[in-house]
Amino acid sequence: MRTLLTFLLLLIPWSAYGQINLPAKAEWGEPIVARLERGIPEGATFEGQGWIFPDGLGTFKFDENTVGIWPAKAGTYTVKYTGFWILTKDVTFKDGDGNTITIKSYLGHGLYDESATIVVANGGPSPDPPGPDPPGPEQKWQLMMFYDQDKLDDLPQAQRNLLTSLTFRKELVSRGHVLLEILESAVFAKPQSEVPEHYRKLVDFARNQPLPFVVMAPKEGGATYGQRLPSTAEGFWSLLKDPTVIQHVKKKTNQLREVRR
Amino acid sequence: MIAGPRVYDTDNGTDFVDLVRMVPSDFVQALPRRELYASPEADALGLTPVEAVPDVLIAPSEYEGRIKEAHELQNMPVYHMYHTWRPKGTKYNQNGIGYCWTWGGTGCVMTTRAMEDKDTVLLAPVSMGYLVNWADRGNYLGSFIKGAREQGICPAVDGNLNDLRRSASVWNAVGQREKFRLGVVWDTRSSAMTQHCISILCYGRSLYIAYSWWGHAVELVGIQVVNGVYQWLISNSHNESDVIILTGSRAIPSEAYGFVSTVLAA
Repeated sequence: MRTLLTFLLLLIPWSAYGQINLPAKAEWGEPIVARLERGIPEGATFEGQGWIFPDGLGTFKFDENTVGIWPAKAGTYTVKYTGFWILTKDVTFKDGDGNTITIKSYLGHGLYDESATIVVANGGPSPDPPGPDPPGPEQKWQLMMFYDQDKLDDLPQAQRNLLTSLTFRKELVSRGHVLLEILESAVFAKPQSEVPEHYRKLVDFARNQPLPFVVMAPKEGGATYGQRLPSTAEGFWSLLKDPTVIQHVKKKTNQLREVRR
Repeated sequence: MIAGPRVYDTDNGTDFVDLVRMVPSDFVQALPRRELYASPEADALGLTPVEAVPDVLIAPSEYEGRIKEAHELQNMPVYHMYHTWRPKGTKYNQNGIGYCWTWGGTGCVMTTRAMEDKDTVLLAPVSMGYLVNWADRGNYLGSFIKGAREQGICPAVDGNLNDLRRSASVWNAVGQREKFRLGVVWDTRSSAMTQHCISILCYGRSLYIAYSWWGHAVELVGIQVVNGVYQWLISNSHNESDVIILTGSRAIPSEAYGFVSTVLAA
């Protein structure tokens, strides 16, 4: 049977059969349906890949010709459909000698090599997360540390060392960072006018945060980040290298947003 | 470890006499404390008993290990002092006036600022002379602590740490005391002085101390163990260009106050 089909395929001139109906644009979150304009006839034999979806698309097949799609995020997606079908019918007749002969009668075919592109815009997660771009690995920081003097004794020595060790501070400076100050929590009780102006943004960021706390901003200025002071020097260096481990980013509007670890 | 400065063995007669002769005044410059440890009077001065922060205290069995670690990490105040207001070669000199109680305390405030990574600003010890009505006389360390906490210390004029002008008009004109105020102070118990001093030093803070046998106040900036001998590192104010080192039984202070923080000011 397969051999017959192959033979017939070689004899038949091919051309594209149908097309994919897909909206050119959609808003993220609205239902999107991809449909073949001319479907595969019942009884036809189909061979080929069929629907081909790019990464980032979830799909649900209603039938062979109709698929619902859900993009994971806004972007441009190209959907394809490839393959061919051939429809034959068994025909039986008697020859001149009265022998019963059955042949496959060709009824039609279709070739698919179709693609359609949709642009999904707005809403939901976007390809690039909103807010400031995470600084590169060589980012240099200006830092302040805050601690509760009444609870310093609760801290492990390795963590306290981050607050007191000159060796650690020299290492910070040698790596290009700037340690502005190390402050007691009493600073939060001061009126804003008594806090040096160039410190206020960092002090405000640390306000109401669990102590000890480190606040950092790019040396040349920019968004402010902060988190609980790491418990070791190794943790501190990791923090400076990869700010995406920071758990909270405080925007100018003082809204907290969780950042993926 | 700190090497090079002269070591005075306080149990050695010659060294002891050399130390005593450094303080030539005919009056006691550092008056012995009046407030009992953990008393209401001490609390009124803003003194927090160090035993109220118990996890700071180091057990005697751990002294040497913790001291060694504090040097390796440069937690000891001496390193911060060298790095900021008193690098080696800086002469700190009360120059014969009986103001060791403010040269010692002011040095301690500058070292505390260094520990907090504040900008290095040289302060003028003599500007605290108002506490004794600008007379050339001794004072209580508690009095200096109260003044430094409530009023603050003036910045030095033209970077002159050793300014000797005992003048209200000079220092009222300089002003800016409120920017350089002492904050939290930990008090120590005389019966546990060694443990309290070692603990506060390893914690990363210097101490404002006095010796009753010497009638003198200085800053304790470190401690180290060399060949089994405890060496107390002192920032003195008799024109030395480096710390001096005391060993022996009299090296343990008679009273000591750990300066923990200074006040942030705009």
